[in-house]
Amino acid sequence: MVSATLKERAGNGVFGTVIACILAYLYLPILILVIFSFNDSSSLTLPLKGFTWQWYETLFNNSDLLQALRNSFYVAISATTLTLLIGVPAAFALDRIRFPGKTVFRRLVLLPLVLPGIITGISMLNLFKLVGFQLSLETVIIGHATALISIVVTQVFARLQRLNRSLEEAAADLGARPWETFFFVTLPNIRSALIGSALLSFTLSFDEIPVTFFLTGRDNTLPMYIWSTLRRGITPEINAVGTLIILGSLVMIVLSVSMLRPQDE
Amino acid sequence: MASIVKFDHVSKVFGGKIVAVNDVSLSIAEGEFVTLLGPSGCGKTTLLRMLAGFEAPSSGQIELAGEDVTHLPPYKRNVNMVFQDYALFPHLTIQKNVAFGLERLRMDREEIGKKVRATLDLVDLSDKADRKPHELSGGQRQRVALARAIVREPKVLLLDEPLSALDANLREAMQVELKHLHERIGLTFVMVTHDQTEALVMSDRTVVMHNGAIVQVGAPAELYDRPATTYVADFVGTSNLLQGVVQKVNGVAAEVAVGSASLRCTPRGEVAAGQEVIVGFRPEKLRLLGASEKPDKDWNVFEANVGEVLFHGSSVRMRCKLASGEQIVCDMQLGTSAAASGIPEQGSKVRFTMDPASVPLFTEDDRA
Amino acid sequence: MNRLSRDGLVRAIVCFTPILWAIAFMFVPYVIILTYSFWTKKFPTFLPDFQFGNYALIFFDPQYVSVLMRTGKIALFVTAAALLLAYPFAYFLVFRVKSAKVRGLLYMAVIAPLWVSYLLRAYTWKTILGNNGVLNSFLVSIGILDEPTDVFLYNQFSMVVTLTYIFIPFMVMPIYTALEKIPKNLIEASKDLGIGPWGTFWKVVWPLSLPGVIAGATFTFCLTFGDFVAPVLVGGPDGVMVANIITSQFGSALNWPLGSALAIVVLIIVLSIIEMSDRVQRAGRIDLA
Repeated sequence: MVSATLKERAGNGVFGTVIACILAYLYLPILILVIFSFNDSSSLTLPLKGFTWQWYETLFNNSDLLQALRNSFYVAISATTLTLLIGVPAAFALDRIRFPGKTVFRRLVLLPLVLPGIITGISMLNLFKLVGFQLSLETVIIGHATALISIVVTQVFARLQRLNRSLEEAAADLGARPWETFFFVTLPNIRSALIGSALLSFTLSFDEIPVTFFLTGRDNTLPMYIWSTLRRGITPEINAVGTLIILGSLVMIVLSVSMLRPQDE
Repeated sequence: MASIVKFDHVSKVFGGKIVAVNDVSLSIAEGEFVTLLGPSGCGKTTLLRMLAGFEAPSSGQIELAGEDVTHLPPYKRNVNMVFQDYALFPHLTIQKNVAFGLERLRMDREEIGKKVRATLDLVDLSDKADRKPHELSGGQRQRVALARAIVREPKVLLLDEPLSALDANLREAMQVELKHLHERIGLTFVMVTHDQTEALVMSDRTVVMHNGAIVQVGAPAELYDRPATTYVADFVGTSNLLQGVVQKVNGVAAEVAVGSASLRCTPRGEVAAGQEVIVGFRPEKLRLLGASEKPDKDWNVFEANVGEVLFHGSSVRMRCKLASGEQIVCDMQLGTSAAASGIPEQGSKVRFTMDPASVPLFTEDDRA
Repeated sequence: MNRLSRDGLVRAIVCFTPILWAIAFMFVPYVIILTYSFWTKKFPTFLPDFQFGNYALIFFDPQYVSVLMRTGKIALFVTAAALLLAYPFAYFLVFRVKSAKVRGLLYMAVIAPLWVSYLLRAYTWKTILGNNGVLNSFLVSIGILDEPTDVFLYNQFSMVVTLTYIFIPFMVMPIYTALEKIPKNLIEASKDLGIGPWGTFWKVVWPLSLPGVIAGATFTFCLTFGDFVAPVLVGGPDGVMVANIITSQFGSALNWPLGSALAIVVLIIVLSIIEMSDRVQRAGRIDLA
C-alpha cells in the first residue's frame, strides 16, 4: 500500500515536471515578447535595461500601423459575418438536407481546415486575376471567409448533431411555425457554437497571413504590416504591437470562456 | 359517444420498404384514455407521431374532431404531446416552457400568466416557475412536460412513453397521478407504452399492436381474460402456452390432449377433433390440491413435478414439469403467513386443478 | 402554396448560397490552378498548353525534389516532437489530475496560444534564438558562452522548435478528447485482471487513443507541410520549404504555371494524407457504445 502510493507520487512528480516544462515552452516565449516591449533598449538582448513606454508611444504615432489596424478590424468583422452567413446554412444543409453531391460539398467546404492557407490564397488569386477583379481588402475578405467557413461548419454541425430533435418537434407541437421554431428554439440552443465559431473566425482572420499575402492590393492588414517590417529587422516596437495583440487575444479568450459556459444541458 | 380521433386504413412505409404501420383503423371516443401497447418496433409510436403530425401517412386518413388532418403540419393541429424525453426547452424557465404554446396563439400576456400559474398549480410546481429544466428532478420535469401540453387545452393529449424515464417507485406513483389528472380534466388521452402493467392500470381501452397492425382492442380486463391471440395472451400478463390436439368437442367445451394429460378447455371459435391447437392459461388460475382434497368434478386435474420455487413476497411462483415434459408456471397467493401456507418443496409431486372456463384455446389463426 | 413545396423552397434556399460559394470560390479556383499547371511560361506571360513539363521539373530537378523532401522531413520531425510532448500532457490531464477544474484550466492553457497571433508566436522565437537574441545574450551573460553563437537560428532545428511550438495545440486537442472518452472502468477492469500499468497502457489506453493520435498527427503534419511564415522568419537558406518556393513563383520568379503545379502537388499530398488517416481511423474504429 505504502509503496503503491509512493510509486504514484513519484509518477505524479515525473508528470508534474513534464507539464511544467510544456507550459514553460508554451508561455516563456510569450512572456519574453511582452517583457521586451517594456525594455529600454532597441536591441532584444539580456540583461534588461530598464522600464519604458517609449515603444508604445512610437506605436501610437505610427499612422501606417494604425491604418493597418483599422483595416484588420474591417476585414475580420466582415469575414466573420460572411462565414456565419454561409457557414450556418451549410451546417444545416449537411445536418438535415439530402442533396446530390453532398459528400463532395462537405469535403470541399471542410478542406481549408487542413489545407495550407497558401493554396487557398493562390487559387483565389488566379480566379480574381482571371475574372479581372481588382485586389483589395474586399478580395481579402472573400478569401478569409472561404478559408474560415470550415470553422463555423464544423462547430455548428457538431452542435446540431447533438441537438435533441424532439425539441424542435415539441415546438411545432406547441404551435410554433417553422420560423418560430428556428428563432425561439433552434437558434438559442446552438448559440454557444455560433458565438464560439464567430470569435474563433474573428481571431483567425485578424491574424491571417498566407491568404492575405496573395489577395491584398495596396492596403495592409496588421499582420501583413508586421510581416513586412519584420523582414527589415526586429525592433521592440513589434513587441509592443505584439503585446497589445496578445492582450486582445486574452480578451477574446475570456469572452469565449464566459459566454460559452455550459448553462443548459 | 362522439369519436374525436379516427384512423381510417392508415399505413406508413419508411424508405419504400419498411412497413411501420399497416392498414390501421381505430376510433377513439372523446374523454377516453386509450393506450397503444406493444413491443418496440410494433408501430405504436409511428401511429402516435402521425396523429401529432410529425409523420405523414403513406396512405389512409386521420380525422381529428371530424376534421381531416392527414396532411396538416403539427403546428396547425389541436393536439399536444408529452415526449418520452420530455423535450423541455433547456434555455427557458419552467414558466416560459409552459407559456411557449400559449404565446404561439398570440394570447394576451395577462391571460397567459394566469393560465400558466393555474396549470403549474395543477401539477404542483408553482414554486419552481423560475427554475430551468436542468435544476428539476425527473419526476418534476415530467410534470412540466405535462403542464406544457395541457395548458393549450388540446383536443387530445398524446403521451409517448411518458413514464419510461422514471425509476420504479416514482413510475407507480405517476401512473396513479396521471389517471387522476385524466379524470379531473376530462381530456382525451392517447398513450404509447411497451409496459403492459402501465396499460392495464391506467387506460380505459388498450390497443395491442404487433408488426404494425392492431391485434386486439379492449378494456384491460377483457384483454387479460379473453386474449384474442397467443401473442396477446403472452404479452399482456404471463400465460402458459402448450401445444395440444383436440380429442373431442361437446358444446362450448373441448377436450384437448396435452402431452400425457387431457384438459377441458373453452375454444374461442370453431374447433374440430384432430385439430392442432394451443392451450393457454394464466399461472394464477391454477389451484394446488391438498393431498386428500377432492376436486370439483367439472374441473381439470393434473399432476406435475415442482421445479424451481421463487418467493415473491405476497405470492410464490413455481416452475413445474408435467409428466410428458411440458414446462408450466404456477403462481400461488400466500395467506396470512408465508410459512403457514405450506409452499411445496422443490422436487415434490403436486396436483393442480383448474376451471375449464379459464383455459382458452387458440387455433393456428390466433398465433401471431 | 402547399406545405411540401414550401419546405422544398426553404431547403433550396438553405443549400443554395453555401453550394454556390463552394463552387465559385473553391471548386473553380482549384480547377484553374490545375489548368495553369499544364501551361508553359513564356516571358513575360504564360501560354495555354497541355504539357507535363512543370511536373517533370518538380519531380526530376534536384532543386525541387530536395525542397519537397526537406518539407516532408521537417513536417515529420514536428509531428513526432509534438506527439512526444502532447501525449504525456494529455494523458496526465485525463488520468492523473483529479480536480475537474484544474484539468479544465490546464487544457485551456494549452489551447489558449491558438488564439494568440500565429505570426507573433513565430516572431518571438526569432528574437529568442537569434545571434543577438535572448538565449545567446543569456548564455553569454552567465558565462556559458564566450561570444554569441548562430547555431540556434536559421536552420532546421529552429524550424522544428518554432513549428512544434505553433502547432502543438492541434496535437493536444484530439488526443485529449480521445483519452477522455475512454471509460475509466475499462482501466479498472484491466487492473482487476492483473495487468500492470504498462500492459494496461499499451493494451487498453494506447489503442483506444489512437484515433486521436492519428487526427492530431494529420493536422500537425499537413499544417506544417504548407507553412510559409516560419521558414522566412527562422528558417534561413537551409529551411526553405515548398510553400516558399510556390510564393516565389507567384512573385519574383513570375512562373505561375510552375507555382500552380507545385500547389497541385501539395494539394494532392495533403489530400492523400487526409484520405489515408480517414481510412486508418475507419478501419481501426473501436465502438465503445
